[in-house]
Amino acid sequence: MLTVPGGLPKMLPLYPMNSALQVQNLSKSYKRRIRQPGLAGAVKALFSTQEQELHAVRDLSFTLQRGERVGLIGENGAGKSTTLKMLTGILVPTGGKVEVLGRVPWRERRQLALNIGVVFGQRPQLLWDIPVQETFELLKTMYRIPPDIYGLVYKEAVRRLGLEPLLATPVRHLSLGQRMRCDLAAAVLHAPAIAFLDEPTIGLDLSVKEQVREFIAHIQEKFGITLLITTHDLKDITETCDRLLLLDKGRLLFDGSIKAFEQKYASDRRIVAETHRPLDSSVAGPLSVEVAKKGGKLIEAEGHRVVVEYHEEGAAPNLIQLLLQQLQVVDINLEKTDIETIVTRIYRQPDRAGD
Amino acid sequence: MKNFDIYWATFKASLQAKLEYKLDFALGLLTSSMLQLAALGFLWVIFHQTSNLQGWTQAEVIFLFGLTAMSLGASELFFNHIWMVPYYIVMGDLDRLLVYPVRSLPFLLISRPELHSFGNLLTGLALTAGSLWTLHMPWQDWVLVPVWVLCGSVIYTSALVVFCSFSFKFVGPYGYTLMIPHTLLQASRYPLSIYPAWVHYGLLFLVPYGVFNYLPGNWVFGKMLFSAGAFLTPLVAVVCAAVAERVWNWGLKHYQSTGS
Repeated sequence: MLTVPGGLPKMLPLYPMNSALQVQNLSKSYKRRIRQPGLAGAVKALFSTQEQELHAVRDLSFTLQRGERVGLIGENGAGKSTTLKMLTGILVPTGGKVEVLGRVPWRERRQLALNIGVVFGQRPQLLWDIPVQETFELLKTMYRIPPDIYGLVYKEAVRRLGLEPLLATPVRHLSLGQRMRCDLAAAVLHAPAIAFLDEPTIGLDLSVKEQVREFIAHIQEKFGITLLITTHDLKDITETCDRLLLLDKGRLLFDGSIKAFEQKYASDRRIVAETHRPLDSSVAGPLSVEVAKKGGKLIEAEGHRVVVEYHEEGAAPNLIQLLLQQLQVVDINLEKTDIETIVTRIYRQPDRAGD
Repeated sequence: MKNFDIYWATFKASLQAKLEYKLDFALGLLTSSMLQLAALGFLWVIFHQTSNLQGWTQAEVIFLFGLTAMSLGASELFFNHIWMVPYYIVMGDLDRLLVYPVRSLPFLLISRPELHSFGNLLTGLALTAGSLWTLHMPWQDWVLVPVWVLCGSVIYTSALVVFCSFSFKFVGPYGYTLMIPHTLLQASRYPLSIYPAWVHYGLLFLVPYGVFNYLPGNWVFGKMLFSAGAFLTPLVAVVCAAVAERVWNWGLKHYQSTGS
């Protein structure tokens, strides 16, 4: 098997450090004219010089190591796409420093483009009314892809994304799911050192999503591609990434492994037991003391239901044993908050980062 | 140009795609030819009243018309995509052009040929050839026509690009800014000496359309003796293209994509 770490064949002069991407205090703000509603407001705005500054990204700092697989999440308008556009050289930031593969994206956009792959899920990228196959051939010329690399990625893409029946179809005739698969293939044909995927599974059905994730994971592993994915579907991240960045109102709220994320925000694991008879009110007091000794906390003991919360890993067996001994348990469940619930919970907190 | 093959491959693929719309092609050919012929009708009316325009005969003015029509046609064939930019800015669609490892301006321009260009090219060719034939011009003049047309398309497109880039920053994404250079082109079909001095010299030095129709007309018909003139037009074209790309890249820095 051909393994090329970081897309080495046409790699830039080796970057001294191992980091693929460095972002320091990055920020982007837009100026918008203030406009009152209605036609009168629109006319007034024509003569007004009042401007409002909108901060899309503020003071963002993070580093990606080579070959890292990172998911960037955040609500709509959190600044994910703006960040990606600055990292790929499409937008010029208002402040801060960015180095991608040792280059400043908006100054050396073209040279950088040779070594990165980009998918914008929300808009079609394949520019032409020409068949998919020919688009690929054009990209081969454009990126000067060596024949062996092209052959390899092309074969993988066709097989894993099921492109065979689409190759002769002009891009404009493709459905959303088909187009997205082709877009993704096109973005990695040149085995880029970094792939920026902006919502690569948006609007896809479950089986296509699965196909896309498998392809991403596979191609990432094969070429050691550094991966930065934004998405609203957290499964994209749990299945293809190790690290998570959570953006909120343009600020970085969390940066760490997915496991650390769960530990930080989902410390509550629960044991829910159902008893044969309704619980006596006198049980709760002593039970709570016993539970506390084993590293748990009694949250609820009413009717047929007992809920125990614990934080430390490995406390579950002892707690379950305790409950089984003390109560007539007919059913018992272990509950762990999944990542989607955590994220939803974070989004709902009214004053998290604050303005 | 380095990487010429990339741009050429892009052009070929895009042209092939366009040719799939056969009805569009036929209609475009028809309408653009009609427009040129309508302008010619207007010219005929003028020359019904007077035998010459500031010393230019009808056949000579038709030569200017022909060169201008062909330059417009060549611009539409090779560089028409610029007309989509105001729309792309509104939709935030310019992004996708900026992810490729090529120069954004030439890549943008070349990647969407317009088929009704052939109407302008063919009508222009007929007018130019008719004029040179009736006036019994020597073969050197015939040979230089493609050079002037190619330079003309570059100069005209450069003007479109400059106006378009300014609209990034100052005007906002409104398509009509492109109508300014387009309308000026229509005006430059007549001998520039019929205009007030500021228009005359404006069209020679500021928006130098006169360099690819009026000046060649002067040289061909011996109104102005300037044998090095054949080289002046390419020189101006190269300068215009360089300026246009500079201004374009400056404009891009002020490009604000959409939120998604």
